[in-house]
Order: sequence, then C-alpha cells, then structure tokens
Amino acid sequence: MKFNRLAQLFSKLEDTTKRLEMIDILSDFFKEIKEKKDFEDLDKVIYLLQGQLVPNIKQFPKIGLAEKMIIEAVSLHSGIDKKKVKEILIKKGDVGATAEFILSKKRTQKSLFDFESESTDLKSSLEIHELYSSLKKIALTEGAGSHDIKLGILRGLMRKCSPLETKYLLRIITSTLRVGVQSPTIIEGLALAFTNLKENKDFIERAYTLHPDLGEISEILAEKGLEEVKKINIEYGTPILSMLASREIYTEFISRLGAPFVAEHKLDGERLQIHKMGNNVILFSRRLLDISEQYPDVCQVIRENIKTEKNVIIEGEVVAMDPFYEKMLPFQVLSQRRRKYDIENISKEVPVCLFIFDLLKFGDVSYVDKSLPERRKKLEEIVEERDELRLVESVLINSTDELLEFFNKAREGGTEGIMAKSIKEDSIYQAGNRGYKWLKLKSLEGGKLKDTIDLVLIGAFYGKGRRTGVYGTYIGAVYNPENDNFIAFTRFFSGLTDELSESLTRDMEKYKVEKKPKNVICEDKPELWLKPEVVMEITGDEITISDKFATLGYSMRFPVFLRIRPEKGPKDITTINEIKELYETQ
Amino acid sequence: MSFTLKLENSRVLKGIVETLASIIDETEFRVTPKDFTISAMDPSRICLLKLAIKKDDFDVFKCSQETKVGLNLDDLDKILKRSAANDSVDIEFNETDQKIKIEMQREGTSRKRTFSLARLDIDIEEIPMDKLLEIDYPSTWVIEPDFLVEAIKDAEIYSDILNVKAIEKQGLIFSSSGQIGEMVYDLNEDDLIDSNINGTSSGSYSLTFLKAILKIASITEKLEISLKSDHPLKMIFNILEGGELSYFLAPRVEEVEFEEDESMDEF
Repeated sequence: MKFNRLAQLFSKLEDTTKRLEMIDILSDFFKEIKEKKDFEDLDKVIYLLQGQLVPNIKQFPKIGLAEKMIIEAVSLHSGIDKKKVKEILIKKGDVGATAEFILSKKRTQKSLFDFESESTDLKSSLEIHELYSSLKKIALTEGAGSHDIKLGILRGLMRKCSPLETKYLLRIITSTLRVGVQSPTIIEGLALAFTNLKENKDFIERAYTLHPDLGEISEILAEKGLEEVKKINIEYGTPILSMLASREIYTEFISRLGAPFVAEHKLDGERLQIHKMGNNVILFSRRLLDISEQYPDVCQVIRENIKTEKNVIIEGEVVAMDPFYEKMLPFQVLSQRRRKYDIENISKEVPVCLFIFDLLKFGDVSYVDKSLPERRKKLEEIVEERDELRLVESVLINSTDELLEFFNKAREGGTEGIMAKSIKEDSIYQAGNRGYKWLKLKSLEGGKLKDTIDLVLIGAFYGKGRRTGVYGTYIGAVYNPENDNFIAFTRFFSGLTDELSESLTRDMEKYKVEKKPKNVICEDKPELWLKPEVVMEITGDEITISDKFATLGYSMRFPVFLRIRPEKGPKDITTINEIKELYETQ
Repeated sequence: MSFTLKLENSRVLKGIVETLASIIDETEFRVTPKDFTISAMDPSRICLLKLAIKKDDFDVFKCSQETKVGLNLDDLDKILKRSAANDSVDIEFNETDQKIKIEMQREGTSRKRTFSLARLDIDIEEIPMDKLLEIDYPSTWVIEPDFLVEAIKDAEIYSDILNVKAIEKQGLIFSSSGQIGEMVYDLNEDDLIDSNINGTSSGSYSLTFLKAILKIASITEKLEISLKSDHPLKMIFNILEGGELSYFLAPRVEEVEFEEDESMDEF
C-alpha cells in the first residue's frame, strides 16, 4: 500500500476530535481495503495508527536519528538554510510540521528531476513496506560513516514523499507520531468495516487484551473473519495485558467489593507476567517486554519450585530483599537490576523474592475467566514456597476496621500499601481493564506526599504539541543554605494550564539568561536558563533517589504544579535537608 | 566477469573517489571492454556526477565483458588515501572472490601493499540523463579550475550560495552576498581559455554541492562550464587523456522570505 494513502488518512483523523467521526473515517478506510482485498500492509497501518511501528509486544530497533540530522536533511532537500529551518522548528515545535511547511512553500532548491520528464517525479511513490525496510536499514546502520549513510537513506525517503507525507514520515522517525486515535476507536472502525456491526467490537477488544497485537488481529479479521478472532485466547509466549486496579477511598471498599473480600500486600517492586513452558521461562514486564535476562535467578527459582509438569502462566511482583530475605527493600534498590551487563554479580548483591499473586493459564486451560478464589486455590497447589518464591499474603476482610488494621500492618512491613480484590463469582481476570474488581490503597489521605515543596525555577524547555510556542517543561531547584546556591531537583510540566503556560512564558522573558547562573547547580540541560527568582509550590507522589539529579541525589515522582508563590523569595524555599527528611519519613 | 585496471599514478583516482564519496555512499564501478565508468547522484537528486575513462588512459586494462561491482565509496576512499602520490594503483576484481583487490606499489621499489574490499550487493537506480544532455546551453566557456575554486572559497564567507552570470562580450561574474557584505569576482573574456557566450545567462547554485568538486579541480587543468538561466549548471572536467567527468547541478530559485510569510503568524 502506498504511504500516501496512510498520510491522507492521518490528516483526516487529525482534523477532527470527535470520536464518532474518527470511527467513520477509519471504517471507510478499512472498507476500501476490504473491497480491494489489499490486506498486505494492513498490520503496519494499524501499528502506525497506534503511533508505533510494531505491536506493543515487540520492539523495533532504535532508529536513532538525531533532530540535527533531520534538520540537515530538510535543509538539503529544500535548499533552506539550516539556521532558518531551526528557527521555523522553534515556532512549529515539531520537525514534521516544519518540513511540511517548508516543502509546501516554493522550494528554493530545484532537483535535477525537474528537468526530466514528469513520469520520473517520484512524489507519493513510497510504499509502506519500503518505508519499513528503509527504517530498519537506518536503525541497523552504525559505526564510522553511519551518519552519511543514514542521512542518505532519509533523503532518499523524503524524495519519494509529498510534503504531507514528509510530515508523517519525520514524525514516525522521531517517534512523535500521534494521530490522536485510541485503540478502542480503531477497534470500532474495524468492527464496522469488516463485520458491519459496531457491537462486535467487544470480541475484537477481548482478543486484543489477550493477544496485544492489533495488526495481526486485524489481518485475521480481514482474511478469515470474526469467528477466527473469537478463537484468539491467552497463549504461551505472548503476554496479555495486565489487569489494573482503581484508586478508591478506603471507606468505599466494602460497598465496591462487597464483604468479604480479600486484601493483599501491594509490593514496591516490579510486576512480572511469567510464562513457564517446560524448562523455558519468559518474564514479561508491565510494558509487555521480555525482561527474562534481568532476572536469571527468578527464572531458575520458577523452574525448580513450580510443582507441576504442565505449562503455566502466573503473575507476581519481584521485590528486592535484604541478604536474609527478611525485609523487603524499596523499588530504588531493585532498579539496580535494570542493566544489561554484569547481571550475575548484581543478582548476588541485590537478592530478590518473587511474590506470586495470580494464575492465568494452567496446561491447556485458560484461568482468565475463572474467579479469583479458584485461581488462588490452584496457585497454592502448585507453588512450593521458599525464600525467593512466595505467595503474596492474602487475608479475608469483613469490615473497614479489619481493612485499616491490615493496611497499617502492611505499611509497617515496608510495602506500598494494599490491594483489595473481589472474590465474588464474577471476579474474573479482566485483562487490560482498570475496573472496580481490584482496588488499591497506598495512603489513607489519597496517595500524595505529606507536604508540598517550594521550588525556584532555573530552566525551561520549549513545549511540543499543544504547548508549542510556550515553555512546556520547567526545571525546579531547592535551596542549599550552606553554600547559598540552588540545586536542581526535578523537571515538571503537569498541572500547568494552557493559560498559565502562556503567561509564565511571557513572565520568563525577565529572567532569561545566556548561561547557567553561578549559584545554580544542575546536571540537566534546559533549552533556556533562568535566573532563580520565581518560586512555585508543587506536590508529587514521592521523593525518589535520582541519578539524573546527581548533586542532590533526590528527585520527585509525578511532580504536579500547585501554584506560584509570589510572596516567597528564592531563599524561602524548601532546603536540601528538608528533602532528605521528607525522603526518610515517607 | 572480472577486470584489472592499473594506473601508474594514484592521484587521479584518489581525487575522483574522494569527490564521489562526498556525494553518495555507495555506487557501482562499471567496466566494459572499452572503458571504465562511475555515476553518482546525491539522494535528493540535486547533483549528478558521471565519470568515464577510456581504456587507453590506463596503464593496464583487462576486461573481456561488462562487469558491474557495487562498492562503498567511503571505504574505498579510506583505502586510496593510504596511497602516496607516486604509488601505482592496481584494481582487480574477479567473480569467484566477490571482492575487489587494490594493490599499491611505490615508484621504483618492489614494496607492495594489498587491500581488499567486499563487493556490495546494491541495487543501483538507473540515472536518467537524456533530458539533461539535450539542454541547449547559450553560454559555454573554458577556464582554469583554480578560478572556480577561488570563487567558491570567496563566496563561502558570505552565504551558502554562489551566483554565476555570463554576459555576452563582457565575460563572467561570480558573486555572493550575505548579511555581513558581498563579494564580486569579475573575469574578462580574455581571462577565459575559450568562450562562447550568447546573451546574458545567470543562476544561483548551492555551495554545499559545488564544494564537492574542489578535489577534482586539483587534478585537472581545464574546466568547461555551461550556463543557462533556470537550468542546471553543467561542468565538464577533462581527466587524463581521454577521460571526462560531467557534473550537473540543479539551480536554486529565488529565496523565499519565511519571516514575511503571513501563515507563520498563527504560530
């Protein structure tokens, strides 16, 4: 299929924000494919609509084209000076829109093809599979001289694109393709086009949660029909979407779940979906990637301590432990495991325990549609507990008082909080769904930090997308009274309204400085440095250990802007010692 | 399918390969029983180079049937850069090895170095040149390549564009202008080795691409340039006795001022 058709589709979809219109646009597009029986690149069309190159469960090699190189290519292609391309980029905020704008204007550099006959005009001749093979070639080119080869391939692609296609091409390359359609919208479009009935989306959706490759599902739907899609089920080697929990105030738990329900420890580790096929064990992360290599010890313990000859898919949380396997350590300790080398040593230094909490498949039988008590019962039968492998503690709760008691004990034991789960007959495993069968409780107040933090702004980044033209992200610092300087603490952008972003951008004109001020210490490299004057109050989920902000050594998880504090001067803000205290008491 | 090519002096080949490598990464050596040719076009199709050297210009030339070998020019360039100016260069290819062999020997010695380079399996697009070759140029002149080199380096001070103008009975003007000022380089008809200039023609060309030919300039003595307004610039370098390198460069059109563009206001 020609890339041009996809670019036209993207463009139509971007012009609307109405979901129903999107569904119609998509289903018209799919119907045309259906009539022409042009299924060859359908899977790729779906991935690109999802803003990806491959399904979630796979990884495309890193394309690794720096913005600088793209600017170079646009400059060479159009004859517009690099500096000017950069200026336009700052205004447009995105390389795709920049290239489209420049290329749809009168070009200043002709091509030799302009002097050949019209049939040699290659515009809009790019095929989708050709795009993929070129991108792969770019991704796999490395070493000396790779810059020129990559640039050459990119320019070759651009030559075959119209300005509109170039816009999307560059967004794909820079991983900034967001057409604005969500998977459920695509699924409804598929249902309408291929089954003539929107309601059939439920079957496709179910298939997608159990087999998260919408491209493959759409090809099955197109070529073999809905009945084949209905047969898609959880399979060994393919991760399913995780079931998620909702946040709720603890007083509402009983009414949401009904009594009794079970409560489990919510552990501060990494969630794993484990596929055991004989001696072959694969660990999938929450993001559906194979991370078995990070945990060879977990794989081993699974091989040796699951008491069944049958294949199984189970779910658990891996947590860092002290050397005696008595105390659970926070996620920061576990994250040392996230590396690609020296895994043997680090697995000795950072011992872990896998806490299992669910069973999704046993032999040939899917357990996804069975109730939680049934799943748990089977799980207890097959897991042989030991230091490195345990079942998550699970207790029956009958009242809010019991819930509170369990929660407080769990927090004392070093967990993140608790999970509460329905044990009613319909307590099935809802893959990919954040419903109210599972609830989480991290804090009795609502999951935020105990105190807010006052920061001074020291740097900013230009916004992208909706925040184009204003500063979208800021860097905030805390105060060190000892040396009378400011030390970078966190980037933040969340919580800023558009209106506020605009007025802040204007205000920042006063504080812009050419170079980093002497009294500022910051490892991050903002696009703009600011004189430390403006104070803001923020909140966030928790203080974390940070490698990025190495001087301070701490940063913040999910920082959210609360308000500007004009009454406060930069020396009135939170100090580095206060940050340490907050970290230690959280 | 095999060939052997030998040049007593590496200088020419070095210059040509370096030039080609600055335009494209991979290309094809095409050797027929009569001649040796290489073509290269940059990926955006803005400039095109075609080199043809006749059999007699080589000191040794063996080829019984047409042979095409894809090569990475960067790698070949690196290898050839290892040769001294007075080294002889011998290039051999035979199909069984799937490699080309490059042998360098210092003049008057038996010291020999041999390099091999893997053949690339590449799909070279046929470069259409018919229409380009049919362009009827009103102005053609022959100059010393050094004049052009000077003009390119002068122009670079001010911008990335070189303006060329040919005026009947007057001569040539190379010029360039930028925010800091401008330069003008006048050449009388007397300064030209040969000229046939009819009417007035002018064009603007990207220095990025013109710079590619600086290396070639150092191995040739004469350069023929043809100019026609709104058409590609054509240059022909004579190489060795019967060799020819043709170069086409698409023109630039008038600069669009983006700042004055109304549609930018919305951003």
